[in-house]
Amino acid sequence: MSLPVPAPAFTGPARCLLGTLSSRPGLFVLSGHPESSRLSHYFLAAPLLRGEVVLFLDAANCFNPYRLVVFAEQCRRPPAQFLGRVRISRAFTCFQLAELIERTPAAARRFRARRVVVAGMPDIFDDEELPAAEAKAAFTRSLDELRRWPEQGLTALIFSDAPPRLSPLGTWLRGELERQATEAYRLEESPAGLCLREAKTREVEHGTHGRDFSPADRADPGALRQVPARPAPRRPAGA
Amino acid sequence: MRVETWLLDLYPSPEGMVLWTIEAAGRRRRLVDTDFTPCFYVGGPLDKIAQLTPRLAAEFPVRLDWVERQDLWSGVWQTVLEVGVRRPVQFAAVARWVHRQAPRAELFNCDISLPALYAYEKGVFPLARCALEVDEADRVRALRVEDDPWATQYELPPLTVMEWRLEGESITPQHGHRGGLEVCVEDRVEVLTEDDPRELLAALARRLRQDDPDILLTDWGDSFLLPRLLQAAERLDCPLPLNRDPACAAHHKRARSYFSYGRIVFKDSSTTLFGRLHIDRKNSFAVGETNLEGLFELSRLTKLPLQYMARTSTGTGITSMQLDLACRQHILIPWQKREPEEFKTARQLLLTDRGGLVFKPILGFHENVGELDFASMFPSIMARFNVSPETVNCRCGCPARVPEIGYGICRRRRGLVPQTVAPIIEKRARYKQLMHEAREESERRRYDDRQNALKWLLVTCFGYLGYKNARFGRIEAHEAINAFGREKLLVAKEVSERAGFRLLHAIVDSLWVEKPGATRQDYEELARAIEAATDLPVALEGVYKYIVFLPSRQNAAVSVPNRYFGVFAGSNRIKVRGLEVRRHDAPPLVARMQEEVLRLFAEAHDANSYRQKLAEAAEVLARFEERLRAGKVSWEELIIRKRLTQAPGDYQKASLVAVAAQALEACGVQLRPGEAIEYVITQADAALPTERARPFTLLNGFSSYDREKYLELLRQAFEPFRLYFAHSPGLSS
Repeated sequence: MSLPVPAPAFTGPARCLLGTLSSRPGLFVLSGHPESSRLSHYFLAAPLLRGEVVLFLDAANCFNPYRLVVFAEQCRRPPAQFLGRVRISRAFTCFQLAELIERTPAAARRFRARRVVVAGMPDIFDDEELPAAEAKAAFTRSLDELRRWPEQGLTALIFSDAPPRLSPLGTWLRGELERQATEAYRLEESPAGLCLREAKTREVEHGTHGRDFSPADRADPGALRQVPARPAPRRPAGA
Repeated sequence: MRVETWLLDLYPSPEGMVLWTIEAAGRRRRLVDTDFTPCFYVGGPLDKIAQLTPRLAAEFPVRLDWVERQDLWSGVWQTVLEVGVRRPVQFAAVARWVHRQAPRAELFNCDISLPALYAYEKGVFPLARCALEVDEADRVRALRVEDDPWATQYELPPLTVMEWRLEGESITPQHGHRGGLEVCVEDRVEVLTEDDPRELLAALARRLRQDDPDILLTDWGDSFLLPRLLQAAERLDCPLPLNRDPACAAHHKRARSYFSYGRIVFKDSSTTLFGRLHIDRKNSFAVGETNLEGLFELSRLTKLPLQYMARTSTGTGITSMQLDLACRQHILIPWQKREPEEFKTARQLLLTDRGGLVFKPILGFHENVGELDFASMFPSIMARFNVSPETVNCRCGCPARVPEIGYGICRRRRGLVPQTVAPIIEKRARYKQLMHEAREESERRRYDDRQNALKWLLVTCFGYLGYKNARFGRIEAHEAINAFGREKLLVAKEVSERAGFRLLHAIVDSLWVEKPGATRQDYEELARAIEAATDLPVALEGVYKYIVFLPSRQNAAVSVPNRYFGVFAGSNRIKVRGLEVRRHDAPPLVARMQEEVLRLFAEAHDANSYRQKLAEAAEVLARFEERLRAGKVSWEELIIRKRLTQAPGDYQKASLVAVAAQALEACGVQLRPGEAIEYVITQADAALPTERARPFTLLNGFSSYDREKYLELLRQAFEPFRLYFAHSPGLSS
């Protein structure tokens, strides 16, 4: 599908937003678009341009290295540079993703990465071949692990595809994930292009709740910078 | 009492494992084996697990023991708790309880079906010859298997087969087409057309009691016949003795649709019996591809009950063989597939995540072409190079052996997958040999069905390594096999070119080469040379008198793999790929036209004689066109069969398939995504969408077909034959 994201997406305001999102520890959930996971590639560009290593946990089987090659060419960087900075692992079952999430902090230390993209979460847990109780148990364990990531200095961008029909389990999984997220956004297509709508922020009192980042904002990258910096989530008492 | 018998079926019951047996004298017996304590294992921190044991023993009748078992991934022996469940029917409940109580503990071997666990433990398998010690209460005191699943010559029990099918076409009766019920035993066919359902049920019950079949072989029995008959039997209070075991009711499992690799798949419902086997030919891949003989072979090898094997995939079959092997070697079978892919850079992913190698064909008409195939290439790679989930990039750090991608392969441990596939490859070769030596057609067919069944086991074992639900799947092993495959094909190309052959086309495990004046012997020598260079078996599929490599349908200048037709020298056998005659969705009329034309071309031996045959072929096309124009074509010849990609109501555009599906749904037919429907094009360009196509079962005397559209389909299907000879005499443009 062709997306109305300007190419290269990360050189415009999207880059500012992505830079903002991925520059501080936290769990950021981006969902609502049927191809949210594929759109995750655009969110790799900012950290890659900064020379950072990104871990990509692909539970949607969506990772496309050729997209990175295109980004690199658009930025006049050697493709090998971008390709070498993304470390990817694919998960085909929710248990593999759960295991991967457990192993990620160690992998992040090993590869000196602070940014982690998780594609297809929690979608992979909504597996009709799996009893709901098992899926919920595995998901809850993963969520416990994810909650500890920001304390370890990790930023997680979690992408969830909008299914044609949401199952009761899918609704529960998405609700729980957003409840634990530092911030949550909806990726939405509008007649003028793709926009990001805030679905949840920690600072609702700042009046940013429900704010649209529409194509109109793109004309003024500063508008995106108005998003107040979020403090890292506080450790639970006794931690 | 000692009994010499065959095992027909097995399933768990509160008394123990029920075994249905057939004695040589014909006696069918229900026996119970109470000496079966299925085990699963609990791993993790031993002190935590130890705390669990008193509660577990208090809660369930279990046998607990600390044992040493081998970890699949590391090969290291570890101490685990063995939980033997004394009441087998509680097996799943005990495992669930342990998981609830100790969610962090690792469970092993806990989700294997009880019949399979029984078969693995006792070494028994469906249709095996056994010697049993049985007491007067029909309890098994001892069981000895006097059969070998790897035998190629084995005696099957004297099975009675009763067939049930509806008269007429083989289209699902769910969509509305009905006929009388044909009941057939051996050569005796009786058509039951009773209007009164009570009489029909009484007649069926009489036949069941009279013939007492071991196998009820039906068409559409799973989704239609048996459920409807059982409903009627219950409603009218007329007993229908489908089961032999009076303690059990027939088991019905609902239909479902699910996504697999971006494609919607429909799995029909199933109705299975106890003590008697119900096999639905329309709902069995194994029987559809390999007949009952192939199903028997699969069931014997995989140790899966016949009714289950008939309805499951060959992938599940090969997994069962791997589970059996793992159990015998005391390897722990992880409950949930947790082992993820190792992190790799995007650059490494570009290198490793690739499929088989393809050299696109040189388009056009080629004479005297040899086709060489690697025999069971991927399974042979697994067996020869020890590729298995636990051996690729093994934890003992064995050096890189996989070409191109540099993965290591264990030199210390032989993998589970190679151990499983190697004897299958060998057995298939033995069947092929027996097939060639067979004197009678029935014997030849039997071995062909069996080798075909083994082929499907081998075909799926590669795909299963990359399949998400495969127990012993791992993406790195899948990538390693592809890497070996690409290298071997490259080597084959180089060997061919060094020997003066020109490569015309190659696709994954087959290559087509030509050399002016080359004889069959030259091609056979080339096969031997490739075999020596690659260390994999290579066979000469045949030498074509000619072969035509065809372009893409969309663009005649673009070559595409696997779209060709050709005729083998000597046998005049035709080989076709990618044409309508091979497609399931082509109307039979179009496929038949291509068949007739291809039969004509089988007589040609070079470009000149092909050109001469073209005029005759054009006459065949004209004859089909004439019949179509004259309205002399039957509805059955015009059927187009398509799978629904979504529910009928979800289609946004009024495509032909959407129109037909919505028409069926309007008549009360429940359709699910992935299900196939049959329709006829009535007026493709009608302004009113409902007039564009009509489901086959709703056609009536007022319906008519779209002549122009079908003429267009016929002409399109003829195009490949004239493509490179467009200006031949006798051909209109």
